[in-house]
Amino acid sequence: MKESLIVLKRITKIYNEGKLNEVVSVNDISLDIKKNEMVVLKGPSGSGKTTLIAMMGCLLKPTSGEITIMGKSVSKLPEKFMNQFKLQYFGFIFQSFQLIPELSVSDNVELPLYPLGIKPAKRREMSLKLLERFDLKQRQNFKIKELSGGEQQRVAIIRAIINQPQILLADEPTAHLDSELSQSYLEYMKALKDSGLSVIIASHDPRVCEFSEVDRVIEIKDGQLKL
Amino acid sequence: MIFHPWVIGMITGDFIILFLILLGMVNAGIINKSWDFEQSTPLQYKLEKKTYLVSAIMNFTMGIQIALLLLFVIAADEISAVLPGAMCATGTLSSNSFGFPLLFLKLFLAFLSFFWLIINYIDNQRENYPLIREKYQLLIILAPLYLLQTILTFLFVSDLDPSVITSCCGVVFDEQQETIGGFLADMETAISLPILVGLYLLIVVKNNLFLKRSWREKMPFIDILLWLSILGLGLATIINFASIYIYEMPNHRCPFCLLQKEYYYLGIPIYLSLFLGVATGISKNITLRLEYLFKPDDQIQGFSRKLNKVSLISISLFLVFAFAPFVLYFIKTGSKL
Repeated sequence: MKESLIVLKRITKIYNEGKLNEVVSVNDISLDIKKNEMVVLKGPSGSGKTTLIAMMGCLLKPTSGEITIMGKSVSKLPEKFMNQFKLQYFGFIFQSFQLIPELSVSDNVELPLYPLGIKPAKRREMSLKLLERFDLKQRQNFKIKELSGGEQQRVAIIRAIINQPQILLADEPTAHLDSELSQSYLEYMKALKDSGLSVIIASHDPRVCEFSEVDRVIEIKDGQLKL
Repeated sequence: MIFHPWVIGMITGDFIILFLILLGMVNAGIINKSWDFEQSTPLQYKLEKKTYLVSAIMNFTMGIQIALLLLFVIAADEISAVLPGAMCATGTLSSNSFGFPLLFLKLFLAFLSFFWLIINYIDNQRENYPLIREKYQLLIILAPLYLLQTILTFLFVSDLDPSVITSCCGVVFDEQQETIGGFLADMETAISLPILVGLYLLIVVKNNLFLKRSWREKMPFIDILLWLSILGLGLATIINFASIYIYEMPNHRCPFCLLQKEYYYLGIPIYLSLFLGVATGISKNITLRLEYLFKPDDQIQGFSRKLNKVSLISISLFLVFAFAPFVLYFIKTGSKL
């Protein structure tokens, strides 16, 4: 049996608590995600999957409940330690990639290394290695806006894995991609999973949910697990 | 009351600090009452969020409290221009019975604020808030002192009267006077200086050289006592020794005039090095005590070593600054020792 990676114990997230516009985004969810699993959190817009993935990635604290990652209770960590943990163990791929168009490809992919205090020469070495692996070395000095959609997608993936994370979190990564790019994106995810990463994807795209490499599809509706 | 810009600034500053401290105190009470780190309840999460904010606000407030000590002395110096008989801050502070008690209280609070900052810093370096109860209890204990400070400031400034003639520093720090100033000025330098240097050497030896760590860190209360003695003797040295050579006048022993432009603001590095040395020296013992209370901790030990270094460098600088005018005077005048 695989080792637990992320354990959620009765997690609830309420926005604007006690106010008129209070929203219970995640309601009493318990989950256990194993090491090297590829999991898809599936649900319609507003179901709470983005909030859930943000809490798993230490981007948000729950209102109640406990999140344990690799045996460490992270939901109660003070902000400073949570940020360190996040930098060390997580890679994020956002919807529409959220790259900085004015910066070069190298500068974009090196961004997560700045807060880790890695020296410029080492940063460049790490980024070049990955750019080469993803066939983007010749584009290293290009601005993001000068790249095609597929190239931007690869830059986003490199940026997510450059800090050598153990967990890759992706929020609606294929939402704005055509079929061909979606397929290539999923192939990259497979390759990363094969290299030992755990991949968690929040998506309502059937192409993602039906991808053969996905170990589990967890359905969420109205902030709760749909059993 | 005189509506001098510095008076308004002084009152405003103290009221803002009091407001922030009271805000911190109320929240500290709430946090201490319901804090249970083992829980993952909505209340506990709220308290964790709250302590992050309270701790940041208190860091700012305590920092400002320390800075306001210097501003208070500068304000007193500026206000002396409108008080007949006053030549510097001494005249302003001695113009009524609240001035010097307020100065001593501000000095005391500056030290306590520094210690609180140290405890808060250590607490923020750990993942599980180990000192949260202690630091907030201390805050609750300190709050009445801040209230007293605001009351004393208000009484002090409201009692400033430009029609009343006050004393100048020459009178207040006259060795014949039966005041604290007179007592410090009258202290025999032939005794106080060797004691000060002796205590300094004792601290250096005890904390750094020859002795094993276990011996160095024993008896923190004695160490604190040594540092407090250095503070007292350091202040006496400024008044009865350094000032004579800074002013180059045998009877001018004011501890405030040396903060003026006329004397190249020499007082600022002198006081800063003395206060920083004593504050960090005492803080080092606080950190060791905290380490002992919890468990051996590399981070606290490292921080304690840094405090030790800062305290010894600061107090060494203080001795250099305090003795430099004496040496320079003899070089300049060619007098024989």
